[in-house]
Parts: sequence; C-alpha cells; structure tokens
Amino acid sequence: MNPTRLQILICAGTGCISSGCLDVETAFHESLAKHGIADEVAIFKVGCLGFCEQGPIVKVYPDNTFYVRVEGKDVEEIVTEHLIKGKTIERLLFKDPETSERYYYYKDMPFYKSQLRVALKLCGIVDPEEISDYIGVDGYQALAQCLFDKSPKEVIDIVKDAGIRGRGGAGFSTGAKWEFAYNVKGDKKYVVCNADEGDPGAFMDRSILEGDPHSVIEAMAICAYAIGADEGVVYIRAEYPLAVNRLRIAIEQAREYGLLGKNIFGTDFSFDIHMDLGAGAFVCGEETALLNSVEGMRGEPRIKPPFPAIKGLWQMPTIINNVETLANIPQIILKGAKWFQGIGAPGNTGTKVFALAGKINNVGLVEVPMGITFHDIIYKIGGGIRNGKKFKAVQTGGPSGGLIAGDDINIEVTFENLQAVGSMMGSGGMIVMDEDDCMVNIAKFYLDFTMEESCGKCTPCRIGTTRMYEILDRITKGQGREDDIKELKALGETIKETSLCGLGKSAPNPILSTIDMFMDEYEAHIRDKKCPAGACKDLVQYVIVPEKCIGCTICARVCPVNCIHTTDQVVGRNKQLHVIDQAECVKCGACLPKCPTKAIITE
Amino acid sequence: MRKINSREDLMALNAQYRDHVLMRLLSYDSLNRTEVTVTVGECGMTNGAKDTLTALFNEVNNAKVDDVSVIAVDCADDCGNEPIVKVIFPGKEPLVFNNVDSAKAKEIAKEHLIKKGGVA
Ligand SMILES: Cc1cc2nc3c(=O)[nH]c(=O)nc-3n(C[C@H](O)[C@H](O)[C@H](O)COP(=O)(O)O)c2cc1C
Ligand code: SF4
Ligand code: SF4
Ligand code: SF4
Ligand code: FES
Repeated sequence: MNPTRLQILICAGTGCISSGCLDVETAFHESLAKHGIADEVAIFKVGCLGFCEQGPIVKVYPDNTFYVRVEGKDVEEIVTEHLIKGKTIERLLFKDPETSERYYYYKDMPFYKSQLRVALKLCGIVDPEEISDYIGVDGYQALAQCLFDKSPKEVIDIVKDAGIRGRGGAGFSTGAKWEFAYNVKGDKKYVVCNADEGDPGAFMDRSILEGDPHSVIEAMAICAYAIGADEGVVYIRAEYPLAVNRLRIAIEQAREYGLLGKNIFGTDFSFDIHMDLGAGAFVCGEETALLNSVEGMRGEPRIKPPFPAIKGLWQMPTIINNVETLANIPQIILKGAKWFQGIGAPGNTGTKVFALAGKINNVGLVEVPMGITFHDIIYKIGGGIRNGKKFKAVQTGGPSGGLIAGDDINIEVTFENLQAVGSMMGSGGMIVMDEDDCMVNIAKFYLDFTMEESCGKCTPCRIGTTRMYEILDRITKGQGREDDIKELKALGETIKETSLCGLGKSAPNPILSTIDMFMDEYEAHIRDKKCPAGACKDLVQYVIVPEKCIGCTICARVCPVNCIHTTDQVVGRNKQLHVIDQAECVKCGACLPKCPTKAIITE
Repeated sequence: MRKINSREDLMALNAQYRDHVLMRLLSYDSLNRTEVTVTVGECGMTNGAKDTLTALFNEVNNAKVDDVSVIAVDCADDCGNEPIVKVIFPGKEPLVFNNVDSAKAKEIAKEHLIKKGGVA
C-alpha cells in the first residue's frame, strides 16, 4: 500500500475547535470532492499543536507547510493552489509579529525551534481517534517488549535509570515509586492516572489526552505489569469533555484490539482501565484526596504516611502518576534509559511541558528540555514581551508557586533551582508578567483561588487563607496598614507549617514570594496609596495634564458619569481646559484612549 | 479479526498501518536530521516525482533509520532536471541529484541515507 499523495492535518484540539476547525474540515471534504481528488488526499485530525492562538491550524504533508488561522473560505484556495498546483499560500503562513517574517515550516518557527517534543511527540502525528495510527508508529510495542522480554523488576530498573521524576508537581522519582508498590506483597494493586489538572491556565495534560491518549493507556499497562496490578483508573475532570471523549474512544479501541482486557498478547497478563470523572475541585488533584474521591467519599486529603504506593485505593498498593509522566514511559522503554538520560540536565532528565501565557508574543503549549533557561523560554520560544513592554516576572507552579524575576530568569529550569528561588515546578503553568502587572494584585488573585479551593479540613488553611486574602484586598484598595506585611508573613509561615496537604502548605507561596521580591510595590500601596503598575483600580487616578489638553470635549462626551468638567482656563483656539472630578470618577478608563493629544494619564 | 493475540499480530498490524502515518512521521520535526527533498511541482509530478517520493519513503522506512526526513518541496524552476532530489546533512553542503526516478531514488537512499544514516 502506497501512502496517499498528500495528507491534510487539521488541528482539532480544544483551542482549534473553538476557533472553527470543524468548518474547515467540512470545507476540505467538499472541495476535494468537487475537484475529484478526494482519494488522493487523506484528511486527519490531531490533538493540540500548542499554538492555539493562531488556530485553526492546518498542515499539508509531505510538504510540511504550516498554515495558521485558516477559515472555511480559505480552503478552496488551498485545494486549487497548493494541493493541485503545488504553490504555497503565503498569506496563510505564520507571520512573526515582531519581524513580520513569514515561516513556511514549523521547524523554522522560533516558537517550535527550541522545543523538544517527547511527551507531546505524537500529538500532531497520530489521529487520537484511530488506534491504527498509534499502532502504525510502533504503539504498544513497548508493552509487548515488557511482557515478552523483561521482568517487572527490569522494567522498574529502566524507569529508575532513566531518572524521570513526576511531572505532577512534586518531582518524585517515578521508578522509585513503582518499586515501593512492587515490593508490597498483595494480590490486588491499582494504577491511577491523575488527569485532574486544576492549576488555572494549565492545559498540558488535557492536550496529551486529546492528542495521544494511547501513550497514556500503554504506559498505565506497563506500570501495571511492573507492579503487579490488574486494574487502572483515570481520574479526569468532567470539564474536559473532548479529552474524556477521546480517552473513552481510545480505551474502547484498545479493548477491541485486545490491548486491554484479559490475557493481553496471549500472555497471562490482564489489565483494564476505567474512567472516573472528577467534579473539578483543585484539592482533588492531591493524590490522597483523589483516592477518597474515587472511593466515593469527600475529596479531602488523607494523612501521609501511609503513602498510596503502600496503602492507596481501597487500602491497596496504588501508583498514582500524572498524565505527562506517563506519556514519557513508552518511549523510555523503546529507546532505553540512556536515551532519556541524554535529554535535559543531570538529576533532571527529560523534558517538561509548560503552558506559556501572559504578556508574551507567542503563547501556547511548549515542551522544552529540562535545564533550558527561563530567558530562552521567554525570549526564544515566547518571542519576548508583547508590545515592547518591560519584563517584570514569570510565575511558575500556579497557585502553589512563586515568581521568578530579575537575573533569576537566567537559571536553568530544574526542580531544585525553582525551589531555591522560592517557586516550584508545579504542573507547568507559566505566566509571564510585564510592567503593567501589579504584584500585590497577582498575589491576591492566587490567594483568592486557594481560599476558594481549600477543602476546609484544617483551620489554618481555611481561616488563614481568608485572613490573608482580606489583608491583601485592603492593601489593593488603599487601606493597607504598616504592620500588614509582618502579619502576612507570620500567617503565611503558620499556614505552611500546620496544613495537612500541599494545597495549604503552598498556598502562601505566591504572597511570600512577591513580598520577598517586590517589597517596594507593597510599600507603595501601603504608605503612598499608589499602585506603581497602575493596575489596582482603586488606587489609580485619571488626570488631565493641563499643558496637553486642547479642550476638544471628546473625553467629556464619553464619560459615563459626566464627571469631566470644563474650567475657565482657555486652551487651544478659544477652548476650555477640562478637568476630572476625582470624587465622581468611577475609573472606568473610557476617556483615556479617546484623547487626541494623550492628555489623560493615570497615576 | 483485529484482535491481537501475540506480538506477531501487533507487528503485522504495525506494518499494515505504518504507511499511512509514515509521511507525517518522516517529514515531522526535521531539526538536526538529514533531510531529503523531492521537487513535486508540475514538471516534477509529470516526470514521476510521486514514484520517487514513494520509493524514498519506503526505503527509509524499511531500513528503520530514525533521523532522516523525507520532504516534498516546491518546483525548483529547473524543469529539464526534475524531479530533483537533494540530500541535506545538517550543517553540510547538500548533495543534488537530477532526474531521479524510483530506481535512482532507491540507490540514493541506500548509498547516502542508510549506510551513513547515522549522521545526526
Ligand atoms: C493541591 C494539590 C493539587 C494537585 N493537583 C495535581 C494535578 O492536578 N495533577 C497531578 O498530576 N498532580 C497533582 N498534584 C500532585 C499529586 O498529589 C501527586 O503528587 C501526583 O499526581 C503524582 O504523580 P507524578 O509522580 O507522576 O507527578 C497536586 C498536589 C496538590 C497538593
Ligand atoms: S491544607 Fe487546606 S486543602 Fe489541604 S487538607 Fe487542609 S484544609 Fe484541606
Ligand atoms: S479629550 Fe483630551 S484634549 Fe480633549 S478635552 Fe479631553 S483632555 Fe482635553
Ligand atoms: S475614567 Fe471613566 S469615569 Fe473617570 S473621568 Fe474617565 S470616563 Fe469619566
Ligand atoms: S488546539 Fe490547535 S493548536 Fe492548540
């Protein structure tokens, strides 16, 4: 069988679906049929390519052309010009916002150039709804290799040697964890995949499940063989309907092919997986709360030890691994521990997927080797700060993490380095902030999140986060007091020390980290009642610079509360100077962009 | 029956399904890999570029070399010589071959890609 002459890839991740890729697909089917080339061109859909902002994305193989923002109306041109005549359509190529350069190939684009795709390798190559694609790219061969050529102990040793550490946040050695469960005698053990992904802004696990669910299924089976389990659970949030659906299809297809179920490959190894839909509480991503939730109890953390590897689901030995951790496993088995050791940094092998967001030119999902610097992620892959603004800080580790600012962006990304500068790897959210972002406000945002998500089991976490939130809220409203910082620090330390689970233990991190690095901003809010970034609405004043005002009246006409008045002073050609009545101003900001002479400023 | 009952069953299905994904796998992420380009403009296609491409795909695939990409490119405006095959090793001068039919493509693959396929 010869490959079809051409293949059209349509990205059908959550991002591209919401920007309309399904219309593009329909248009392709219609147009190909119209031109009578439907059997020469194969169309396939893949999971997220990481560049959602530029979606819907279409690639043409084997040319490897990468088209962005493709709409239904562009399809006819792609078919007649590119597919039939072989001409690339320039206007649909990605254009770099800074340099205006257009890129023909994905590998030349700065966004992809410094990336290294291991966990995401097959996202964008295989159609997640066709197990045949996965089998065609050597899928399930790693499992076969384990079952036929390796003892469970040998499998564990490979994973241990590879040095892979959990991508769910804590960075614990995956191989060592598997060994704990392996060493416990028992007839019943479980493998659980943690697909809760509650960190706001994170979507790496969702993308893996949407784009390449079989890698995760295969990895769970490998883990089951290694530790002696026969049952698997994927705990996934119900708010991820596409991922849930693709995973369901993948599990069904794997069963149909005999890759899940009894006597896999005709051996005496049996393993099956079912899904458990979580309600989407952040704390349920914590492994012991997750177990409670699967058992039908309230999603509250348990006291550790015992660790789940010893006593987990239904008190049986249980391995809980994150989606991204698992997605690496089949390739580690196929290519060997040495290969994996060669990627990343010593002690921090392999890659990490980050959801790059914030004030940066290229936002999206990126996978980079460990040991890359933040500077390279932000400037090489991310294309630098949007609108030529100044970089201020980057937040990692989501609501449990902290900020990295100044020269610290030259540190190499490793679990230890991040901790040393007061942040953490977390699950991989990475939010870049510029000079317009107020650090007190950012701290408040994360605390608002953890306060809401605290399960309430421990008093310091429940009451403490609320107290901290109230203080921060006051500060951003210009009612800060001299001893607020001292109190925030004291509360933060207490919550960290006395909370039961990681949520409480890390909830104060964003606050402590911002106090540590941006003390001057806190002081400006508290002492001068000013927000240097101009972000805290209550502290901002809109004023008209008298020297610049030409009395055109535009601002007065857009003000919703009519608080811009004229004065007797004459400006311009017989016009009157305008002033803003601060007592009346509701700080809506409507006037500011309208002034033709930029006379209105915030301070 | 699709049910896989042995390792051999899996490998048979792998061989059967591989062709369909091969094109994507091979032209994917050519960074630091040896690239083989084939011109598939109008002249290239009338002179059998499709067979050239298929031959290259099959050779590279059968040898299971992992670091070679096969990519179709636009016409080189050199109609008399199409299809033109270029072998581009990372950081080296490319080798250029004119009027490559499927037999010549197989030779090129054997000589330059598979033997020296390890150049990464
Ligand atoms: C509050 C809280 C939320 C967490 N959320 C997640 C999550 O969404 N996904 C995840 O994989 N791990 C999460 N974790 C980490 C898990 O407890 C656990 O360490 C992880 O699933 C283990 O898998 P790994 O070793 O493959 O990283 C969370 C931890 C805490 C304390
Ligand atoms: S630290 Fe917070 S989230 Fe964790 S168990 Fe205690 S109250 Fe619940
Ligand atoms: S829009 Fe600007 S120039 Fe016109 S009246 Fe208002 S402040 Fe003055
Ligand atoms: S910020 Fe809004 S309310 Fe205040 S002066 Fe301008 S338009 Fe009026
Ligand atoms: S969904 Fe298409 S690039 Fe993310």
